[in-house]
Amino acid sequence: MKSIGQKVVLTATVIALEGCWLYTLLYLLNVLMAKGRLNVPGLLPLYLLALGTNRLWCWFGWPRVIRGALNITGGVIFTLLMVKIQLFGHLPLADAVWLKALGEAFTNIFYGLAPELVLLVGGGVLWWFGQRMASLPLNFAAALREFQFGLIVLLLLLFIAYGMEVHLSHAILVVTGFLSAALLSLSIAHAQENRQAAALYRGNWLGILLMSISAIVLLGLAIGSVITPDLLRLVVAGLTWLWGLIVKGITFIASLFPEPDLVPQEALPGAEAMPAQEPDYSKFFVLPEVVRKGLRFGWSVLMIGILLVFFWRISEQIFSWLRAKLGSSTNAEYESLSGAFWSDIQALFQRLFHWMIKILKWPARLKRQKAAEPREITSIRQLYQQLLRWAAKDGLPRPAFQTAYEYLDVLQAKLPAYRDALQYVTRKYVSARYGHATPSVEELEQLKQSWHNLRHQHLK
Amino acid sequence: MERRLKPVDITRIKEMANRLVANINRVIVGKSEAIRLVLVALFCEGHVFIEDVPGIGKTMLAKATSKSLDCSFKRIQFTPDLLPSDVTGIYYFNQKNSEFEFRPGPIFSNIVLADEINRATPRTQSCLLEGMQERQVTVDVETMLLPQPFMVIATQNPVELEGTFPLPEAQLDRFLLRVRLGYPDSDEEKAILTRFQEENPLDSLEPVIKAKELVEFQKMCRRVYVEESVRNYIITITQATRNHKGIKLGASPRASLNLYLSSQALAAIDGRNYVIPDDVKHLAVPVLAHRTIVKAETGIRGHSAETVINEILDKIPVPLEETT
Repeated sequence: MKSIGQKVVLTATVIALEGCWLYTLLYLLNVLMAKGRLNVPGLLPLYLLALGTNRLWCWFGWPRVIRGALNITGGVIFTLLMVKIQLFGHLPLADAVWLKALGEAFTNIFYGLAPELVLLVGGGVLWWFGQRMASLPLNFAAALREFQFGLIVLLLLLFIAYGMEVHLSHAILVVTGFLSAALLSLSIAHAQENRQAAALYRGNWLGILLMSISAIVLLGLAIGSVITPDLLRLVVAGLTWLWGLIVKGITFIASLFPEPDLVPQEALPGAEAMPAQEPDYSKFFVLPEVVRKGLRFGWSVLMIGILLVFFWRISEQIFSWLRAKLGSSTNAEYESLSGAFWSDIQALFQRLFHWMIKILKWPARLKRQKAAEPREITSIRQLYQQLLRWAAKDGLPRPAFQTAYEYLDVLQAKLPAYRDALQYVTRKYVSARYGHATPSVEELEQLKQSWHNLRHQHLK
Repeated sequence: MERRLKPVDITRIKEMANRLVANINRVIVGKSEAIRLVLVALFCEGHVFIEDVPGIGKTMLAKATSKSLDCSFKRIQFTPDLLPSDVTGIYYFNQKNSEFEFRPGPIFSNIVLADEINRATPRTQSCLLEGMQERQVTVDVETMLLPQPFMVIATQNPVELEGTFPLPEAQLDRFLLRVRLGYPDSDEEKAILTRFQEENPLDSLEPVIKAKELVEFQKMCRRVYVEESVRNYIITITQATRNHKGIKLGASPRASLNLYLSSQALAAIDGRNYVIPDDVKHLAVPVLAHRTIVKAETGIRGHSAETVINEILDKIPVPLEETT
């Protein structure tokens, strides 16, 4: 198989890998929250649309900011369109009723997710994963990561479906598809990265294939004879008991919060008004409804977080066990959790933490900037910050004790082709940072252009 | 409200500094760094302590600097029998008008060259203290102001210590910076031989700046902008010298002030109306090294004050954008 063909097949298999668990997730959401009103297979094109459009923008070579803006706009428009097509297909596009319905769904978010919101969330998830796939470098590590992550999510979803008594008629099909796609993607990625090793087996690949199939069949038979339906029922009963305990615990903690006050309804015409109730003096301190809503929301987030950590710990233990087993055999290849799922989770939490810090710091920063710094200076500082990040990514991080000009010497020595641009950016930054010299619009434009050229030339 | 220095003023300072450097370079071969440091001291009303082995050009540099300025200049050769009154001046009885009259000493000039300062006794060395810090001299009960500008350029030979008196810390602290010249390289030495073959170029050196102008420039240098983070950077450096385990005596607050002022002057000489961390780093060793005393064990390990300060500079983060 030629290299381009391999790439296409690898991309297709990883898409299928993600598609399997995304489909199951959306199916569950549809059944549990949207009362089966959504057409789940009809939603999946959003994923491909996100992938295609993002690939296209990358191919055009547009700046990241523009691509980001287009991505967000595209995501919002197409998801809204999907809402319109799937839930309000009978209404004309110009009719604002469906938009109003969306607004209402948002206002009632604390009382449960309406189908419109489920579709919005699902569409958003699909779009995000689609655009992520567009920029994902596909190699063995990525394929393995996708497989590990997908496997855990799929197992979780299947367990939730069982717990909620949702009938997944297509579960076998999805799992088979997922495992096939995983095997295919991993083997292609592995072959791509180990061409020399693969060449050794090229002569007797048919024998290896037959041997593998026989081994899998034998293994399946062995497992089938050990894992009986009774044993499975026992395991499921144990897990259900555990789940019941967790639910009881959550219910107990949730019961500690006061129930929302019932709004007295006006009597219907012709009906007798209910007798006025004696005021309950036992409640000396009643929290406002808004605060309680917020607390309930926060509580839910906390609980979900705890559950995620719980599942994470369980899966980590399983993987540790598997790793230990694999590590004891020779020539076995395995990806450590620290290099795959764990790093993803870490990166996610780090990013969330940084965003949170940034958001918290934002008012103070804004105030400081307004008081002391013109916008042009802020722009230059941000640009220089980008330069630092860019150089650090390229293996030239600035040591804390180095001044801007000392660092410039290092950069110039490593990147002599960009001497002028580097000098210009550093000079302007220094005068803005330490001299508070506000640059003219032309200077700012020239600076941005220098930085843009520097980045793009280097990337090429 | 802080008044920033105008670009036109900065240009004037830079041009003047370049002219001064060119003039001094007619006598001193190479050593542009040392000349720059002397100019920094000159522009921020500081005093210079030139320390190096004999024959390097310490006195020549001091003389060339003073001759480049259209100011009064006096040289004092410090010897063990020199008395404080030989420096400050004395009251003598004038028999003509039957009154005590003051005869000013050599300190009453714009530029004073204290040659081989460590050869005088501590008593005589100390007579410079008041003049260097407060720009005034008290003789008997009379306090007299020194002329403006006023600068002491002292030289010292770090070898041949027999019969010398090491300068007390209080005295050293009053020098803005210490300059070391070092030996010239072979090309520079060749140029020295050629230049001094027929006549001493010092004899034909003409002043390029007037005293009044110099005072004006000194005032301008004080208006060079120092950003808050750079100010903090200076303080962090000086405080680090007080907490460093290898240092017995750290830099004083006067050292912080001198580092601040000298950074302003260096920025102005370089044609900037703002200080950057490079200025501070550049001047940290010349300004701080002679004011700090390293512990005996540090010295035994072969670490001098310069080494320790460089080590400190390599640890303190420079105020710059964060990448996170």
